[in-house]
Amino acid sequence: MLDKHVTVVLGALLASMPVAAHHNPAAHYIVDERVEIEGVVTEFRGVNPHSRIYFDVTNDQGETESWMAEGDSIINLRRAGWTDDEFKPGDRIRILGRPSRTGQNLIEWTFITQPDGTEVGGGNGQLGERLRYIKTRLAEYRQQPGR
Amino acid sequence: MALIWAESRRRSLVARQSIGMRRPGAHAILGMVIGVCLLMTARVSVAQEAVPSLAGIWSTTVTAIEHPDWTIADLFACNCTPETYELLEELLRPENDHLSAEEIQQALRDHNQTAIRNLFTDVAREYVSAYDHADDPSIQCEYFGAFRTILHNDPVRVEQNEERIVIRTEDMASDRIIYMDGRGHPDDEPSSPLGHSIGWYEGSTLVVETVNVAANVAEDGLNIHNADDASSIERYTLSEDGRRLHMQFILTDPVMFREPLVLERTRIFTPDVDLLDAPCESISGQF
Repeated sequence: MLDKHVTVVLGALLASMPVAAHHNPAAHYIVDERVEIEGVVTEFRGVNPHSRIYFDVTNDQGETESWMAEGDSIINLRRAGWTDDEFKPGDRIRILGRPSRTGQNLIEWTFITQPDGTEVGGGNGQLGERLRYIKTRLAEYRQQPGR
Repeated sequence: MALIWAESRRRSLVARQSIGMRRPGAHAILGMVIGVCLLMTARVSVAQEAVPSLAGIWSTTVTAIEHPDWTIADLFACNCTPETYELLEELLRPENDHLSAEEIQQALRDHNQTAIRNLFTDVAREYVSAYDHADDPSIQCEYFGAFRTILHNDPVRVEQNEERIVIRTEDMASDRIIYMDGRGHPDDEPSSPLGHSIGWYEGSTLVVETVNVAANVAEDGLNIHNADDASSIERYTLSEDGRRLHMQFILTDPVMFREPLVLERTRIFTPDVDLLDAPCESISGQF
C-alpha cells in the first residue's frame, strides 16, 4: 500500500480560533474535529476565496480515492510567501485539518507536512501558525518585569 | 493625485511635530519673540491641519501578525464588543497567567458571541438558528456588502482627498466611496449592498455614516446578519504617531438588534503591503 489513509480525531484543538479568513468553516466542515490524512497531490489550485489541493488517497481496501483540501486564499498565501506551484503533482503530503460535515472526501487543512518533512500552514485564516506565534508572544509578554 | 495629497499631509504632520520639538530657547528677547511666533504658527497650523492623514495601506493581525507594532492585546483582538475588550484586559493580567493562549481565545470568543447575541431581536435569533453557512452568497463569489467589507480582515488602501475617501479592498470585499463634500444621503434610493456613505471629521476622527444597506451577511464568523435599510457609523481615530487606526463600528438595525451593536478593531499602517488580486472560484462543498 503506497498511501496510508489515517484518520485521527484530535478533539477541539484550535477550535476556539475567533477569526476565519473569508468564510465560516462551518459551511462545509466540522469545526471541532481534526483528521489527518496522507495522499499524493494531483493538482494545486491557487485561487480565491480558498486555495485547493486535489490529491489521491489509497484507502484501507487498496482503492484510490480522490480528495480535495481547502486552505487560505491565494492572495494571503502569496503574502505569506507561497507560490502558485507550492505543491506539484506527485508530491506526497500529510494533511491535518477539519473533516467534511457531509462525509465527502474534503478536508480544510490547518497544517500540511511536505515531502521533505517540512510542516507548512496556510489554512483558512492561517490560524494554526497564528496561534503558534501568539503563544510565543504571550510567553514573552508574561516574562516582562513589572507589567 | 489623492495619494500625493495625503502623503503631503502625512509629511506635514511630521513637520509639525518637528516644529514643536525645535522651539528656540530663551537666549534673547528676539529669540523669544521668534519662538513665540513659531509656536503660534505651529498651533494655528495644527488647528488648520486637524484632518487625519489616513491614506495608505492598513492591515489587521490576520495578514500581518508578525508586525512589531502589535501589542499582545492586539494579537488577541477581533471584531469585539467594548465589554469583550474589558475582559481581554483582565485576562492579560498576571493573576491569569495560568491561562493558555487557546483558553484566552476561547473565553473571548464565548464572551463576544454572548454579548452580541444578547442584543438579538427574536427575528435575529430565529434567523440565525435557521441559517446555514453553506448559504453564504460569497461562497458563490458574490462580493461582500458594506458591513462585511468594513469588518473584514484583509488589508485596505485608503485614498483620501477633500471631496471623497475611497477605500480599496481585495478578494471578496467591495471598494467603497465615502463622500466628504458635505452632501447628504439621497432620498428615495433603494437599498443596495454598499448603501450610501458620507463622512466628516470630528477633530482627528473620521466619522462615516452609511445608510440604505440591503439585507446581507454582516459578519459570517460572528454570524451577524443585517436586514434591509440597516445603517452604520464608523469612527476611525488615528494614533498620535499615525501608525495605528482604531475603528469603532456601530450597527443600527432595529429588525435584528434591540439596540445598536458596537464592535471595535485596530489596524496598523503597513506601507510595504500591496493589495493583491486573484480570480474567485466558487466553493460548492463538493468537487
